[in-house]
Amino acid sequence: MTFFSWQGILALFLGGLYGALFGAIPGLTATLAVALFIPIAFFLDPMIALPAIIAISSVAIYAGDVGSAIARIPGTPASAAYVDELYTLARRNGALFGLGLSAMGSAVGGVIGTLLLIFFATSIAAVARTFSSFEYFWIAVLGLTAGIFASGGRPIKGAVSLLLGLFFATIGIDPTLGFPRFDFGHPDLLGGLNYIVVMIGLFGFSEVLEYLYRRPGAASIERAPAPTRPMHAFFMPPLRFILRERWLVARSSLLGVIVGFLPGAGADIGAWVATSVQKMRATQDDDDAQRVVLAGTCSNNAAVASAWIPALSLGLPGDTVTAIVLGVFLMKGITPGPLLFEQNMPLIWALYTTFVISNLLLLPLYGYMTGRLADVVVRAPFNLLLGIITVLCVVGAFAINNNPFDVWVMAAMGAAAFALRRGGFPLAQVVLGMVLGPILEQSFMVSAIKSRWDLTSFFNRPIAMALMALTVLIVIAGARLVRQGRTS
Amino acid sequence: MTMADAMRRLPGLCAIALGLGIAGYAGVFPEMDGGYPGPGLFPRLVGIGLAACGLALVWRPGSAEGATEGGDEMGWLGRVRFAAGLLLVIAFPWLHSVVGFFIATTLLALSVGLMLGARWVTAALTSALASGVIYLLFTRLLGVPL
Repeated sequence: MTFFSWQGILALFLGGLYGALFGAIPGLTATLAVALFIPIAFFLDPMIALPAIIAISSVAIYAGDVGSAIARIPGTPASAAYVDELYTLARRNGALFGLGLSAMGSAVGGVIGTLLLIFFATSIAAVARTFSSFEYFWIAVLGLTAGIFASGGRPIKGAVSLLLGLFFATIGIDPTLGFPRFDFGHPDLLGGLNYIVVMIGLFGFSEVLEYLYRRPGAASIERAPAPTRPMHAFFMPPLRFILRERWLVARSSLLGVIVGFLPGAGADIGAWVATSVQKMRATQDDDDAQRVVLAGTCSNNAAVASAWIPALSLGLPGDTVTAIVLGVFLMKGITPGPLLFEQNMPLIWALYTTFVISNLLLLPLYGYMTGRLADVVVRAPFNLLLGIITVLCVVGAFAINNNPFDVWVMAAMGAAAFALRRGGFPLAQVVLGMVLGPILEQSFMVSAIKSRWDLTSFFNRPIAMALMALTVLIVIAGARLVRQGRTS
Repeated sequence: MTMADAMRRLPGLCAIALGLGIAGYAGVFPEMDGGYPGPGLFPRLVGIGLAACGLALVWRPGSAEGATEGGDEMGWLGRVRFAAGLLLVIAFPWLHSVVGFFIATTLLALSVGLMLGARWVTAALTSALASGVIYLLFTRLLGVPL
């Protein structure tokens, strides 16, 4: 069966629709969508199954922004980096504009990532192979440092939020030595806190609690007027903005690719670094929020493609989706690695073509559909909407593991986020700490153990030194921005 | 020190208490062979960092920059609604096991809607409809068990 058969095209479109549904619903992720697709993929030809998986993951990663636009619930840790900006845009300029910017940014970022995947997959993979735990450690430090200065307010408050996230990441089995920590004898804590559950509580449920605490009238909020030409509102202003900000798009997509191809870490750090750089360059005009959303979405979807680089050329999963994909490869008797490019070029080209189709056709199509839906939803009476958001928060948290304990964790996070917001502490940094914490700790411990606790070995390798220098540059630039902010 | 000053320093004090608690608890984790730091190292560093940031916030609390805008809180009634919303969510797993998914989610959405000033009939209809749609979406269409 060939990729260009009616079955292949149908699988792409159905996969995109399935990904859009999964991505847009709080608690359901691209990983879960792909995981639940595996029993079906088992019976399909690889030329149909693998492109369908690409369509599912590309659209689901974008659709994670639908929850951000409607209810301030990000679908992925990467979209938590710009959740506040997207939520504000959706309220101020309309959900169609906000999601249009997100979909078009994702599409452009995805195409740039795909082009780099096509032309440089094997050479980028060779660079990735030189990365050891030392480089991973410095990448995590770089991401955390950028996150502190991107918090907008006082860096010290960003640091507190980040440290809280790092603490949450230590709950459960220690990733290096396997020792249970902070579980207090409770078996549900042994597996640690799920960051999707934490995100639903931090962003979604805390919003409900905030409105419950205010007067009933406070639940009527700012809304943009309904657009007279929805298709125009979704495509044209975002595309014009993308053209105007082409250097930002190129820079963020490149960052997404460069950081995104690192196995196990990339996509989230890429998006965080791209949005952090953009927040630090804020010019205090009305377009700042749009630039941050654009930086995040470009980098996010560029990383979706680049996560396939180590998977295809080295057989190493770039993220959880490609980890499942590698399972499908093996299930179908295909061995990923350099030989794949010599022995199975039709499959490789089918994958490349799917990336291009997903980004140029499926993302605008399903982006527009979800944008229209979101535009209707955000116009519903807000007091009714908050009731439904509460149910989605509870169901989303419960559905991940079918465990009531996750609902309680979500509720606790909502209450904690309510207190943090009152004190002016940023919430997104908590998620960043949770995502980067295990990478930071594991890479530090592994590096320290293999160098017999000779800490100078962290400063010996050239790429590690370059990453450290970048971190120092971010600290200097951030400190200057803070000083300028104080004097202006 | 005025009450307002004390309140501005409260987040810093909480961070110190939490940081010291984490660092202290991490002290009971075992060390590696040869006396090298073990699983307690990272949480201990996090705890010390939190306590240090807390100290800085107590020393220079600053304004609640970036904080949620106040001024429209409902006082005691707001606190009651906040607590009721939180309790409803905490009690959800129990409610779910007793009355089933549909009634539990409908009651949850309805209660939140009513507390936020929605009309009875509209809130009841919307909540029931939303619960049904969510159930069908998760279980039938996407195959996610609830």
